[in-house]
Amino acid sequence: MTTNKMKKVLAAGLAGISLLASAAAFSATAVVVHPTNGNTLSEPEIARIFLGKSKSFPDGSEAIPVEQTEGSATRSAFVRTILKKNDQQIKAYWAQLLFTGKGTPPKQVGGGADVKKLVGQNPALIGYIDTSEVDSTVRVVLEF
Amino acid sequence: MTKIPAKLGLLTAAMLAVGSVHAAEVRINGFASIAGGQTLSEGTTTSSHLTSGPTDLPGEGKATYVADPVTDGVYDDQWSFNPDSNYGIQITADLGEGLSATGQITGNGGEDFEAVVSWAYISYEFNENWTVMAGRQRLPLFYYSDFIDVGYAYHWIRPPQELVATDGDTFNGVKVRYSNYIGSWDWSAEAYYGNSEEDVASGQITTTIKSEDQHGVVLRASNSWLILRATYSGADSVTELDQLLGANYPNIIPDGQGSEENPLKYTFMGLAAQMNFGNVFIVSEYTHGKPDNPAFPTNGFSGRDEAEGWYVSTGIRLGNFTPHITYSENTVDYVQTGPVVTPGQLSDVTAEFQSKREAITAGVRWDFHPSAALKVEYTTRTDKSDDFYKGNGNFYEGAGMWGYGETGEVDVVAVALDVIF
Repeated sequence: MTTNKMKKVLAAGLAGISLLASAAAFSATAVVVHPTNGNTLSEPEIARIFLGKSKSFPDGSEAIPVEQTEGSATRSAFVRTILKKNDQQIKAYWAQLLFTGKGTPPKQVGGGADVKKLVGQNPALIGYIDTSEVDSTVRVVLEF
Repeated sequence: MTKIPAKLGLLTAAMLAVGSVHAAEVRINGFASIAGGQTLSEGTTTSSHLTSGPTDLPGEGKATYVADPVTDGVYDDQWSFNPDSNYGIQITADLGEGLSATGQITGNGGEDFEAVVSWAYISYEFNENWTVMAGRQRLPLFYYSDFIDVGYAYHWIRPPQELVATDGDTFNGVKVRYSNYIGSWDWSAEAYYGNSEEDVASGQITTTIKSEDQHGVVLRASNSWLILRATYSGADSVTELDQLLGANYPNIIPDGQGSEENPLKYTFMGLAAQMNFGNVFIVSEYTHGKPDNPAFPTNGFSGRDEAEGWYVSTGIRLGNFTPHITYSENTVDYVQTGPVVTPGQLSDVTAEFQSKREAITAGVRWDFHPSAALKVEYTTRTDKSDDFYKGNGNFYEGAGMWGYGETGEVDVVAVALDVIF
């Protein structure tokens, strides 16, 4: 490997690291719905939907929350900031409801790309993705 | 608890009905607790197995700890994996449009893990506010009743045993729930009606207790840091005495109380609150049970006289570790207007006396995995009963023994692994 090549690789690597670092430092999460869904949602209203307490948007249409799979950093951030619980607490919360016939946890559909794809196809869905993943297929209702 | 063959038909019928509907979405979930423990205290009790005959008393006995009165999970001074261990598998078929069918099969170590149907119901959500559940369900007496099997859902290995004891934990009937919210408060009201039949096995004795016209309400309100719960329940209790007990004590059943013709009316009420302050939580519950007339036949039977039980528990979540401590207390006031049984003899006396037990439980829950928790717990319980109660002996459930002295005094240590899936 020539010195030149090495320099290029090193530069690319450093750039990658700094990108990752900035992504980690400025990572933000967007709660998203279908572009045709015009509802305005407050943080508590979003929490109610994701905790199974509400099953409709403010305009009365059906609301179906979709979650990222457990272990995703975006999911943990959402659970912590919006649902005000840690990963264990949310699991215990759903265990109480699930095994007593009082509710079913939202479906875990995969990563941000999976959530975006599904939400972009169905006006009833609401999900959350990293802000860097946001494009015109979804509409942002809350950023944090 | 009804054994599986009797109720399997109901469950399979429900499941088959579901199977015939195309596109029903089926979920399977489950939980399990593997727990071991033992008592640490020396035998402070003088006691003897009932079946050895009252005239054999007193014999040397050992203090035991009833960890699960409904399934007879009892710790003694030998390490056992049975009393707090259980499993459950739940199958839910979502039929769409708010209709679903659910079956939950559980097994407890105290009953050799024999599978029983704990829940088998059809649920229908009329709309966001109204839900009806019909079928076999848990009796929602205590704050933790509904999910008492799911150890993962709470911080202890078992909720405090000093609450008012009840014979059954399941009923067959209908429950209607209304839920709504006002500002930051969610609230709900439940009303239920049904009946149940429970075989209460205490050592060598099995008694069948039927609860008829079982009814109750549960009110609940919660916001971001506070949960409040209030409940009332009532039932007509009918007890069918075991042959053995009847044979040993033919004279002690007063005037058919608790019979089909003259059922024992029993009322129960409970209040509970849970508070969360950041990482610190406090949960407390008070329960009160009372029969409208003194029950047969003697002291010691669970909650058959006026009983009170309460606890307060606090803990702090430090990352994956949750250390916690609990104080709990149980009192039963006996007004014995009929004959009092002293093993070996029967005497006609009228007496008022109290049994009182106080327990402190300290433990740690460690969430070492997203779906599993490891728990270690130590409970020390003292007996502050009236001397009359201690001196005349009492039958303590699960152990199948008569005891004298401080029968409630015991230390117990337990370790549990809880998983959900």
